[in-house]
Amino acid sequence: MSTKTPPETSSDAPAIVLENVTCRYGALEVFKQISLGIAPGQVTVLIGPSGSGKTTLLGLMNGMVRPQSGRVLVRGQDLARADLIALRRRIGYVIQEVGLFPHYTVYQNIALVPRLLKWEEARIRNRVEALLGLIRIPADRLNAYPDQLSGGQQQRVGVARALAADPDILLMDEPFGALDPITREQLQDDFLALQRRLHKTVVFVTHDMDEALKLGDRIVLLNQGRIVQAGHPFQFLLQPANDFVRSFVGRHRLLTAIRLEQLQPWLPSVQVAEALPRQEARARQKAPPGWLLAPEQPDSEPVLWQRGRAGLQRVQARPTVLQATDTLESALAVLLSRPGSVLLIRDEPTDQMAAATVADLQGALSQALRELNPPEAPR
Amino acid sequence: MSMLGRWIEKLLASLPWLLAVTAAGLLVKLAPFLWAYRDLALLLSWQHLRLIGLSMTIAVPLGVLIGGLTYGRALPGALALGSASLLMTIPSIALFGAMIPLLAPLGAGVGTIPAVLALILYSQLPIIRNTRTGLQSVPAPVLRTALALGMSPWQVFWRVRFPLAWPFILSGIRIAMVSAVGIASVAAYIGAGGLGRWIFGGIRRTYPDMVLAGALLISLLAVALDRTLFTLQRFFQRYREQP
Repeated sequence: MSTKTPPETSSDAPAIVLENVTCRYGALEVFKQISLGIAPGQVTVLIGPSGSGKTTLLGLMNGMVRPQSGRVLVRGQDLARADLIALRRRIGYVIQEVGLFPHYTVYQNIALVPRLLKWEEARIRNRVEALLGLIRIPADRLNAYPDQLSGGQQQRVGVARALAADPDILLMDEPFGALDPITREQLQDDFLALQRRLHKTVVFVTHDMDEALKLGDRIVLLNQGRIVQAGHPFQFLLQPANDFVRSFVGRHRLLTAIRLEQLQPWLPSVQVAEALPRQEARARQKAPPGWLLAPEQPDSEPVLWQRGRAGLQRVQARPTVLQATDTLESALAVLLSRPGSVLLIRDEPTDQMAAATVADLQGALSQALRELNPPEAPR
Repeated sequence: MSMLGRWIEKLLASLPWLLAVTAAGLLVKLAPFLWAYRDLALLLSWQHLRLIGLSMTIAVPLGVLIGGLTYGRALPGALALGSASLLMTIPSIALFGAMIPLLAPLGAGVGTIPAVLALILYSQLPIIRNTRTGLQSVPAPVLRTALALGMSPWQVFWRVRFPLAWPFILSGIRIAMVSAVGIASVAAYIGAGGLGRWIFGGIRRTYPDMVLAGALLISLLAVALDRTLFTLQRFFQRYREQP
């Protein structure tokens, strides 16, 4: 953040705050006295049935919708007294219909906000080219018009345009809602990979619970202009606040929505070795207890060993390895089909391995929940 | 049935060619007349074009301005469109005739001024209507993102709304201009010159070649203007419509 940051915005202060906001369209009351804080560097998903006010809530955050009463603070600044045009140039915005300018090329579309901010053309060109790599659009599409791109490509360009001036806040209104399921999943995965690198404050509107559970660090469930429940995706799955949440989440999602990568921090890690330590070394070793994956003989199949007080114990040859992006459901399917077996979970980007038994998964879930649990502010 | 349909389709597809052939035939038939009066033909064509040029110089900015001021407002829009439509229902001879007593006190009852004025009035409907339609038809999501990404309302209008409406506006101008070419022939009636003089003169003298020569040149002018503006319109619409 720049040096001009007002003192009330420290790194863990909410990036966006809604205080007792009431919002009406004529006689229709969209919100009554709603309060919400958006944590910086996280993906907050606003979800709810249609008419629940989630898009209006998003509109409040960049001044597209003005509240009848209450305050909206962005980076500590009250929107009622802010220069909205300057503010919006520092907030990314992506909508379902993409909204690319049809008379602008891909380059001109992405360059839009930097040009409004009067960057130098060389800097803009560098930025656009860097973004193109980030969103995986080939550079020869720079001079294409939006209608010459596929729906998925258009939305990638839409995301690039929102990121062009490197805003710390990104507002996304059902950005992947109009795409076919395969493209949607691709864009979701790319978004997650991008977010892991950029750590933007993202407010993401969707009506799709699977998408919310997949992308959200925090989910805010709205119904009829009220916040029904707000919290980590696990809390929605394991501790729904009431029957509305229960039915909105759907029981079937409990297993399919939790991905192993979310549980990995709480699972014991596995050390991988080229070969087993030699006999004498093994005996003297004062290594901490844990898992070791190493072949018994050089060039033979890998074997899972458990290091304990009694030394190294052979557990299982050729254990099943799942990817961290797989779901809890697939892990349980493997573990329950071979009682007593141990499963390995491999995180592709970091190449970290974790081991899991049924008990480990259960422990990880409850520990995750305990750590997540009360920091939810009362409202 | 489908045979007949295909036959009609073929006939319609060949219609421009049939017309071209007819025009070429007429040209051959009228060649002696046009050659004999070539100086006059050029003069009258020039007068005709001058009427169009003078009236459009005022009609286009006026119509676009009215359309631009009323596109977001229902009542002024209805008022502007209503009065422009009302003007269109007045027969051209009557409107040109009405100019005489209206402008006579100003010393301009006949000649170029009332003719140009009448042409301006006739051109307003297509220009205003297309300007309004074009400005209104810009997709809402495009306007919403433009605003949400930090464009000022002024920038949204001039960089997004107006450029996207421009092909529509140009098409309105094209319609107005081409119909003005036809209507301007009546201007000869109030002494403004133009190719109408051959039509009226030919009728009075029962001289078919003169009438046909006037009509042919007027048609050629209209087609030439139409093609020019159409090419221009295509150039501005180098992007296709969004799906």
